[in-house]
Amino acid sequence: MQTVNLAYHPALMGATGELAVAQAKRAYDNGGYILVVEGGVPTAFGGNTCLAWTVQGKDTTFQQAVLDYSARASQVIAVGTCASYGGVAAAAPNPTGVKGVSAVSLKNTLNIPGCPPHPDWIVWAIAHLLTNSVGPLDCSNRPIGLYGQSIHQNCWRLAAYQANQHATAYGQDNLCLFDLGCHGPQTQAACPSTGWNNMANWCVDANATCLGCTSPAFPFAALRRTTNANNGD
Amino acid sequence: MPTTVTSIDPVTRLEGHLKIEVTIASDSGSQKVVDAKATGTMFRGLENILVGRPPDDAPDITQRICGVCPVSHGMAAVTALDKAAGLQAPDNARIMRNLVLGANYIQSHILHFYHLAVQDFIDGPNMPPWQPSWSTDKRVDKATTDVLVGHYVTALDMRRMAHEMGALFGGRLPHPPAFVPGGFTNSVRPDRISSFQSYLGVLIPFIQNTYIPDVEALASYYPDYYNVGGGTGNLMAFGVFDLDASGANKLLRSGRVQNASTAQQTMDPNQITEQVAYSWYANSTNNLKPSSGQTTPQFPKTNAYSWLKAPRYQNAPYEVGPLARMWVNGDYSRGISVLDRHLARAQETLKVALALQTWVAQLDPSAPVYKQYSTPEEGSAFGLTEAPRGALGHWVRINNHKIANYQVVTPTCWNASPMDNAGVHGPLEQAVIGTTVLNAAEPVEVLRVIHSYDPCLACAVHVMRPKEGVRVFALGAVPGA
Repeated sequence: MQTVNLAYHPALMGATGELAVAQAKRAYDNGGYILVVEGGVPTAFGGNTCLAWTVQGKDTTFQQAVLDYSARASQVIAVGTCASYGGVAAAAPNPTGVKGVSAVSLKNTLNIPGCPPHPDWIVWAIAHLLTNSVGPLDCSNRPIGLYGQSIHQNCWRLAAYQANQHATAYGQDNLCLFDLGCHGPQTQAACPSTGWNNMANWCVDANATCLGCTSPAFPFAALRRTTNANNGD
Repeated sequence: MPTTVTSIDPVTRLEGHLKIEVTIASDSGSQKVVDAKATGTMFRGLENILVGRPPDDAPDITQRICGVCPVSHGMAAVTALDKAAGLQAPDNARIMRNLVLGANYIQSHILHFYHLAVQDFIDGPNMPPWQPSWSTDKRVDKATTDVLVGHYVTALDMRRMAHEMGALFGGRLPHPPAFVPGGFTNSVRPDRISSFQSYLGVLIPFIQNTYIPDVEALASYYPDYYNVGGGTGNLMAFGVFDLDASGANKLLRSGRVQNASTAQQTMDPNQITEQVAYSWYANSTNNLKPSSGQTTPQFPKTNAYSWLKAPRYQNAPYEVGPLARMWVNGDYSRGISVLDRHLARAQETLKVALALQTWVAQLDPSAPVYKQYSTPEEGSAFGLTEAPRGALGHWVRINNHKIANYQVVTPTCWNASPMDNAGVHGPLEQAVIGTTVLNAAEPVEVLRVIHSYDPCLACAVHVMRPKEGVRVFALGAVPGA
């Protein structure tokens, strides 16, 4: 709080209505702020499936707000897979024409995907931007410092994979989840080292397959390996 | 009389996107809300995204509807899918699902009071993001304000701990991946049972000794809010937290009452329809039951003013949420108002936390957590549960092993619904209408009513003070849009 001046955050701020929008507007007028965007940007229906705010009776779509506010930002961070790449909201048939933030703003954007994005990763991104030490990005504009390695290569159950010890159903501890449809081998994220909720757990240690939630293609055509019943029997 | 138009958009300290247009009229020196329109300003179409996908995806995709109460969507989805496949999840799975959902109730209710609602009544610290803020009608003395601000910070810790507690079994929060049809992915590890109990050992005293007394203390400064924001008087609960494999017994049972009575009536999901006369959906989809419901966006549309449909039970609006649950269950009957919603929510938090203590001791590390689930070729079913903020239902139809139709009816659709086919306002609209406003430039009273429902939406409220003699409200007009 002593380092970051959180000018506008609708879920936290005391101000409301035009007083809240005025805080955003003041940052906009000064320029040079870090813009952190959560959520994909709907572009169908003229952007009218998501409004940012209304001032003096005039609605501003989220799409317009992202365009305006990214233009005067020193840096833009897309937080979450929807803001980064479209995510679940952009899954087929993409009913509201959702795009990622950089696809709308056409500005360089630091992507911190994850569904949800890990709070430590968000703080990492802001801290490294402030100290100018983000380092190189991958081809999906994710920092290699966070997303440089796959879930699989650091998985706590890699030894089980190498020993060919595979789970055959949910609920089996310590076995590799590859045969249950784990997306870990194709997913770049730091979950095995950061864990979730202060290391209380993470997906694989709950015997749940990695769903690949940091991937640009998330949520794919299917998230889980499925078994179809043969009703004819 | 001077005319002022005050625009409040976004209403902050909410999750999501909702606009509420409030018309205020002056009468003999006092100002009163005479009309209100709730406008859901966001539509994503996740129901349509689910069509054609494997049914197993439904718990994961629908959890992405909301980061505050994803667990409820996971619960509703696996309940529906289990039923469609004709299987009953093992007892361990039933219990772990309840434990994660209960942990989510605790974090959500604590978040709502301390981090979203309390700033409508007290001034936060003199720095962003708490200031600037409105100053109208702040009655709490400095010493009590300081205590509440201190508890705001403590509550951040409590909320984190509730999340960690839920993640022990759910895998992570939000969006726990452990909810699958057939049961639960996680095993029952004894070390996690004892960790869960340790968290409860901190959370239960906080709820008893801090949260509930803080709500009561706030109520003592604002006793008039026992008479503000009554709404429809119709309360409904789908019921939640199955206590046995059949789901016949629940911690909080299903039922409904009308006109603030205590006369219980049964809740039959077949009596629910969704009306779209004032919603941006095709009229050809009007008044369908969720089992055959359709989501066909149409924007713009004459008379429509919301992306929310208007769910109705036998054509009547119903309030859902902790007050409705506690009322239907016989645990609360003081009244229906802004303060009653806060008090019932706090008391429910304790009831759920104490139940978690019992349930976690019922887990059996040697028993199964999962029964092999196979997707039926076809079938249809529904899953009813309760999100922290009210009744939630998922309806699924499976054809050729894929989802053929999926409909979600959320609690905020019940509470913040637009008008129905008969032109009857939704519960939140009704609760806002009639509210007296001290200062039309800072209508904090309206915020207090809205926040008491804990809507899962970022709100926009327009306040218009009409010219004298001008018709206050024209049906179908969308001021500012």
